[in-house]
Amino acid sequence: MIWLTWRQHRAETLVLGCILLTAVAGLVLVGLAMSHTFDQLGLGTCTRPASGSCAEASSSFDRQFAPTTLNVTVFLTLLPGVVGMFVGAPMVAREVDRRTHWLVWSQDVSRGRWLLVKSAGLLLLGVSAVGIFTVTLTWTLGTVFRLGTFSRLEPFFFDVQGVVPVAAAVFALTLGMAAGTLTRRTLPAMLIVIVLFGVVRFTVAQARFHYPPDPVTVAVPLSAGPMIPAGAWEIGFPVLLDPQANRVETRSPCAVPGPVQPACAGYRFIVAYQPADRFWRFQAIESGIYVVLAALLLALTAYWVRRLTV
Amino acid sequence: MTPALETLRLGRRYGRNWALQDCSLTIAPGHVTALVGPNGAGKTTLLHLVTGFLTPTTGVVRTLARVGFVAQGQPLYRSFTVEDTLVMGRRLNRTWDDERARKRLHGLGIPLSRPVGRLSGGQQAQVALALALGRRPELLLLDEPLASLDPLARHEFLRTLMESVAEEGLSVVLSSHDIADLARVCDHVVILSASRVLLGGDLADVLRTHKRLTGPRRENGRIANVERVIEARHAERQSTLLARVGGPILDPAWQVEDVSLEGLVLAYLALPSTALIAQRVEVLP
Amino acid sequence: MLTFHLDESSGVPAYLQLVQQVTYALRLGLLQVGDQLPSVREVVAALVINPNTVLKAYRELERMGLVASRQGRGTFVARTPGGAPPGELPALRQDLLRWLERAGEAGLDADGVLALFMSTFREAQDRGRATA
Repeated sequence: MIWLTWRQHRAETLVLGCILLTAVAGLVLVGLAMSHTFDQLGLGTCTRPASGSCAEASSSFDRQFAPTTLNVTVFLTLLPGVVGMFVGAPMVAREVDRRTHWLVWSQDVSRGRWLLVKSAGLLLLGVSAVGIFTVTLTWTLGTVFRLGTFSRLEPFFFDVQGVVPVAAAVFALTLGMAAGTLTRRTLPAMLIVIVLFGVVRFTVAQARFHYPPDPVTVAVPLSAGPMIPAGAWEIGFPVLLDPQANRVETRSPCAVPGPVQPACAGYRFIVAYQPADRFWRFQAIESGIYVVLAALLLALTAYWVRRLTV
Repeated sequence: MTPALETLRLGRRYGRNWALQDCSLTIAPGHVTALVGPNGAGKTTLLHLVTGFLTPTTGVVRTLARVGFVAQGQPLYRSFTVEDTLVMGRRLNRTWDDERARKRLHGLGIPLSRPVGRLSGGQQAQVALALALGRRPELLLLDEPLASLDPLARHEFLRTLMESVAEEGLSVVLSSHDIADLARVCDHVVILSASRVLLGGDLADVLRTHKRLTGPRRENGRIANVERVIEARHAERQSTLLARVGGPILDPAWQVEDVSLEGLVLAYLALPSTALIAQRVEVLP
Repeated sequence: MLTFHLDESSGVPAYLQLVQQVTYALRLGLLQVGDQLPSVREVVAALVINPNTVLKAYRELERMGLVASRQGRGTFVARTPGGAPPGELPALRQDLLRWLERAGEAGLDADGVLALFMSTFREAQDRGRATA
């Protein structure tokens, strides 16, 4: 059964492998270029916020690498869904569509063992591909975080770091398997995967704003320095309070960043953020959600496969 | 002697529709049985119940230990080579006769390195058959194996099948909605229509006990030794009956002829559904 | 080795046709005592028929005393059907060939030959002198 799973998915494994190889090579090159430029521009010596020559160096770096960073992050955000669609959806659907499930189940292999080995094999494939890509991307983006302007907890970056992409891939694959077993045709199953994966991913990303523990809320006096610690993820917008603790419009002159006006003494900002060190806790929560969903979908698939009469 | 296949009041329902009902059959080993009936009669349902793909709603089914199956359309992995297909057979089955399978395909001139998708329809059917036979089954079930094959391919397929029966003492059940090819190779027949078994038994017996009677027009009354009239046609002055007989027809008014298997099957399939439920011996309609 | 053929339109059961063909071959001396009949598998491969049909035919021939099957070795001719001893057949055949030549020289075509033969044959049967 292991041989059969490999032989059936040999072609797509090789294709995925080639894409992965090219992508990883590209990422490594980009990462090296980023690191090199970072040092060249002397950005390591800059403090936050950027000002003067640092600001210029920072914009220069942004101009050079922002488009690429955007592209690769979008790619990895979509990759789990794509894997789920093209690898997970056809797993049962194509077999039933082409009636080859009757061929396999006429041999000495039970439905249970068939499903177990096939799903394990494809999950391994998806996890490996997405995992390797995530690790490489994390290394590449290391330089970006040295700028100090971004947080790893930010939605854009959180989705492509740590274990969340792998957990999302597991979810997408099992979603594909379940959809394929339900529809018994590949195309509708793929459609279900795109739609549901997008919806769930979006919902979970929204839920992230409410992960325990609650954000840290502090009162920050006006100053030229940064309001939140390095790498922290700002939640919501800062609220400006006057010395009497009344809310002040953001149009107020005191809200303008820069050197502190004497008229604004006593004004302070109330700002909420999630500190950087909560990154792995949040990763665990989000991955946990995806894994639980995946387990339910796998159980559903197993149940439907057993009852398959077509 | 254990039957090759035995069913007792076997039935399968989908929602409110019965795909097969009240099916009780006993098939002795070493025979080739034709399962005949129109599309939707329940042939595939019966075969799937026997292979275990379906669970019965009512009744039981018992078979010999090793069952082989070739599904409708002879499904194969089209991107696999013939070699790959045989390797799959070897790896997925506890018992596997690799040498014989290869020898058979070699004898048919089917190259092992060619992808299955690029073989002709007849060759694909032969590969599917070789795969099923590789398991050394005691009972082989085939769902409409000849349906999509041209006459030459059909002939070659049946040749391979009959050779295997001769060599290995295999029991075979094959379904078809076309009876023409099967008369030579089958020695048992089961007629299925609208989810019920109409007739089942040894082919020679069945042919011996069904006769076509032609005589002066008569619509009522009994004829000695006629157990049941299957089909009756009345012209102005003549009646033609297809009847199941229990002995010789001695009434000189009737001219008695043999019936072909095809004629017999057609007559049974033309029976109205109300007649299918009646079990009693019938007289002239 | 004997080759079989089947005539599906004749109405004669398949196994009976096989029996008839073996009997015919024996009468003509095409099969001699001790010759082996084709194996069941060979007949099945040639005619694409049910093996049980062949078995039935061979059983019938065995019942008639014409053949004997030896376990694992095959089926062999045991004796020829009643009639002229095998040695007579070549001579009879020669006579028949000469008569056919004469008929041809006299101007009879194939149908004429058959008609003449059949009518004379029936006449001889009626007189009880033929050995049919």
